Amino acid sequence: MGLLVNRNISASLSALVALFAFGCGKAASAAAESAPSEPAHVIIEALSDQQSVAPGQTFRVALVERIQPGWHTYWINPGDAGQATRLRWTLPSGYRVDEVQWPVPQVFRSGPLVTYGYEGEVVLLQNVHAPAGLASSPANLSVEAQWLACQDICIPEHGVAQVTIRQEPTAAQHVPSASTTVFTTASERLPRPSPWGASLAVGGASVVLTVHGIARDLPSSAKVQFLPLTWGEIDNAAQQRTVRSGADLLLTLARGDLRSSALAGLDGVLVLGPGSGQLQGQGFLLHAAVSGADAPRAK
Amino acid sequence: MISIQGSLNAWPARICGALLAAAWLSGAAPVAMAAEGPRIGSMAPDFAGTDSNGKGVALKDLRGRIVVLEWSNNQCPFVGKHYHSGNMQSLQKEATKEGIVWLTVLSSAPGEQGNVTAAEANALTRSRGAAPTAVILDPSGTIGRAYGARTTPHMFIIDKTGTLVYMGGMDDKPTTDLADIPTAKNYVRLALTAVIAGTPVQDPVTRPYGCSVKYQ
Repeated sequence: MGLLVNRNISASLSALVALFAFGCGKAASAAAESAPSEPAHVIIEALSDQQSVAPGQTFRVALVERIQPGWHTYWINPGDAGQATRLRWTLPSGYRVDEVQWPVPQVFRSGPLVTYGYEGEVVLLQNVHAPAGLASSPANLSVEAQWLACQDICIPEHGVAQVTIRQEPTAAQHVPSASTTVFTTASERLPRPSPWGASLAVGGASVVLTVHGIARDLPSSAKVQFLPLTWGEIDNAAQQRTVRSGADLLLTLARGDLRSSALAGLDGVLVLGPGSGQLQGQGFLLHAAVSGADAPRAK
Repeated sequence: MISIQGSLNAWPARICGALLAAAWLSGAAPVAMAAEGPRIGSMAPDFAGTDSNGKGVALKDLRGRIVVLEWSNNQCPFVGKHYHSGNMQSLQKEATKEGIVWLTVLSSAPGEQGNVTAAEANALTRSRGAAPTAVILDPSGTIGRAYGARTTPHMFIIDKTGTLVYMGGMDDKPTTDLADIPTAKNYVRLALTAVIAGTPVQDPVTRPYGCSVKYQ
């Protein structure tokens, strides 16, 4: 481990409290492939939304990436190149951690390629479930993160961060940590479940994704973009044509590398861009299944 | 487009949407679709280029031979994974021993990472113990764009008839970690084995992983 950065904000407290760093994290990061003297392009920190946990409780942890200006890291689907950040938590016995909740990414265009990721700061949230039986000693939650930092060039980096949380074997009192606002802000950047239904018609070279009823809620000037959650289904770089039809919005998307395979459905995030009024910048999780009789078969 | 919409305006929105979708998919849309990428089972996009020894290389002259295209950028850590481990070189040697034509293609634009002169390309081949049939310099990205090459590495296999039979990643472990190579499923080796045996390629399309190709 090359660079070690302590971001302990409990400096004014006693040494013992600072050591446990309730709700705060310690960050460390290192560039894997670069010289030891070269600092990483991303600084990480682990946080918990609670100072203490009661038996059986679910709470949230966060991995914060502070990304050097000009560089970016990647979404769960990195797009045409790149690699999503990978997190591996080491938790006390009996604890379980859910999947990463990925914030709505930015779209990066470079020549003919499109990738999806984050600049500046990104917070990756996960739910953690505590077991029914808890020890009375503090629990140490440690995360090993691997990310690809790219500017024009790409550098694989990794780091370890940890956060310590009090275990309360008897009490059930929820005590928020000092990082509550980080979690609130991060939650606002997550895609929400779509209030609009969606269906899919599949052709040989393209698909038409119909989002039902959305045109009632969006100004006609609204620009929208569909970002696929998985590789190969959609051509990331192809222009997405949108047309309104009554209350529906139809997006024509070119098929991706898997264009010769059957496609039963499409999952992704519909991002509402410029002209979307109050909804601008928000992302909605869409699942579009191939509609029945009216769907032309793939050639 | 406007006239189609106008004529259907009185229809229930759901039906209208479905009809529009059907019309667009059947090619009735008055707008051009995005250019189609390479397709497995179809003829591989033709190309002609110049290799690092100044020799012309044209795909149409290679009918009757199996051809591998490997997009590369020597400074990309994903490429480094397969060269530092010797993984790429051993596959090149296995393939060329079977009479397969292995073309390493460099599509990095001038000034971009991985853009090298012909002499530098040859020096890299020597210093890395690489064994491609030829290294094609494609600084304009013409060949790369024709194949929709997106990453380094990005691998394509063309059979003796000129048909594209594989496109995708080197293997199924999309990391820069050399330790992943022994346990990875090497899609390219498996595909080449199948093509040589005349059997269908099990996984003809996989996710290419790596750095972006540094196009102009």
